[in-house]
Amino acid sequence: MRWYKTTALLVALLLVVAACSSNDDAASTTTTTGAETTTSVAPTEPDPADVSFTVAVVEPDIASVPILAAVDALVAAGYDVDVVEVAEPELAIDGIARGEFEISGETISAALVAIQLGAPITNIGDVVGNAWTFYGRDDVAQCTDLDGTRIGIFSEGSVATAMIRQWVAENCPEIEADYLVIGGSDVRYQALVAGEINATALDLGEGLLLEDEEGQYNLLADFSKDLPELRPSTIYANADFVAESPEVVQLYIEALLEQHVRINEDPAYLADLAVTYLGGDLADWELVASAYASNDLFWAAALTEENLAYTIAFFEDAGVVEPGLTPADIAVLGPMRAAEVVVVGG
Amino acid sequence: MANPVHIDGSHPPQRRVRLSRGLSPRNSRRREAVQRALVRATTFVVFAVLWQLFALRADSLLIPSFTETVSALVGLSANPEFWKALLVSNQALVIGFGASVLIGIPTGLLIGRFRTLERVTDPYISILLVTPMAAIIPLLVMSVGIGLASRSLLVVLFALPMVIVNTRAGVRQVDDRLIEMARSYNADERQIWSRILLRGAMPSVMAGVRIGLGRGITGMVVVELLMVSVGLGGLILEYRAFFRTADLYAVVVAVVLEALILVSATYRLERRLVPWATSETRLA
Repeated sequence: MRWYKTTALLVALLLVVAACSSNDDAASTTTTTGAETTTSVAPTEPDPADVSFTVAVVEPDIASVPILAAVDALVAAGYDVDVVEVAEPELAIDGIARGEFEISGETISAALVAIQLGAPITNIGDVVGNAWTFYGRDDVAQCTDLDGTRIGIFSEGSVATAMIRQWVAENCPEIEADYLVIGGSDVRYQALVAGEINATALDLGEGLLLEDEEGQYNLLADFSKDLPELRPSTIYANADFVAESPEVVQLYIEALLEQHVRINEDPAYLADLAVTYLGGDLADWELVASAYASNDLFWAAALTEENLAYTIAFFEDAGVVEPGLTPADIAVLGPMRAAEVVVVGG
Repeated sequence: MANPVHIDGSHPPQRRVRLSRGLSPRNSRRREAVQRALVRATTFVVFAVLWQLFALRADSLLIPSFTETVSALVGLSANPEFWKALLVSNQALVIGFGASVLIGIPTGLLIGRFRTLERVTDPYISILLVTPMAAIIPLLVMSVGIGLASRSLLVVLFALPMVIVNTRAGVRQVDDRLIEMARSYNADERQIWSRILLRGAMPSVMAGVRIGLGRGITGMVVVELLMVSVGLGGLILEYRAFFRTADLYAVVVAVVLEALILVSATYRLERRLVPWATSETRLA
């Protein structure tokens, strides 16, 4: 019976430790930081010896290529900046909240949900404007043709899904369609080409690829023109890091803005960056780069209280977040504005 | 009993011998069952406490505590959406695993019996074993689509190699001397199969069925995570997108519970089909 007593004692000890830990940590929840929208920022660049941070990139694509170039420029200037690639936005969000990474950037909807849950995350700039389009196969030329069809979506909470649902609600609310969640964008693309789904959201680059495919495809909606105020993809950072090191945040945004200035002046630069960081054929990237640049999609300082309020309202209507968020809750724009002044002048 | 003495005259160290308490076999089995239950319960409690401690320490958006997960699991059991997702997912499992067993066992038996057939099929079985299934999914979409057929086919691709390989191994491990002996008594091929090969291979066949079932359940969820997000995989992705991690973990726990129940059922089936093998295992 001795081993019974020993085991019971061990279990009791573990339970006591757990109880003590839960008492100590019951209040240890991530707290919402009341983010300010204006911050006074030091005008001088920080000393490279004092700068060290990590940027998490989620599945690099044409939108995140300027970020990679900006980081390389900072590294070349002597700053200690690491890049970590993660597979999913949720992993980046969690890493930011725990302080494992300082900066990341991807779909804003995941960041808004996390902020509402109390994660110490704040938006500090814009990755890329609204580059989403909605394509249908040849038998879907207008909204009402979607009745009884299958629409492929990335996930229920994604920006593109919310845009599609809103577009359908505004243009043909009476239709009934089957929304199929197909997580991989390449699988969703193949499903559209193979006729397994009748319509889906594609980004600008995928849309251009699709138009090269055999068969007819119809552009049902260009959300870059229909919803230009919506900011689907933003740069977010750990709120404590932003509060403690606004000059570093400004430095990062400046580096990114410099890349965006070059891209907007010469789209071929974006194509070169894409080949450098993503590989592939320059001719293919030139077509995509030209489409992005001509739509003025790259400007890291594009966030305003107005378009953030619009974005919050959009996701509230879509049911992604609960009502109650304000721009002050989700963004700190001071470093971004200061960076814009430095790069393009007052 | 007299104390033994070594040849050199020394005495070996004495061992304490536990005397029988005179328990009846029934009481003895009951006592063993209670001991087993106690060990399992203790292990589970330790696991739960460690999970709770780790979650509180990690303070992560993606790691719920044990108590949060249990609460979510209770809520899930009352959620019709969960049961509907379970039904949708298990459609692919039933069709895919059923096909794997119907195809895999005869194939494994034939491959194990006839070397020429094994040499022909071995490269393809090896390919199925090592190919990462995520890479096959776009091919599946293009060729079979994104419906129940492609989900069932992926379950087959996960489960079938295990059933074949274990069945083949079961046939191969049957002692050739038994077959020689049977032939010496003028047994024909049918009798060799029914009296020797099938009976001898059955324990490995059941092991293959069990392992294939586990792999099939994995395939059932993987295809819903990577291809078309319906059923339980769809729920997992939805909860992940909204950081409802306790609900996410509850779905995962539900999948694990289903796997345990199904594997337990295969053990019971094995005891019925192969009682001699399971009793030998117990004695061992």
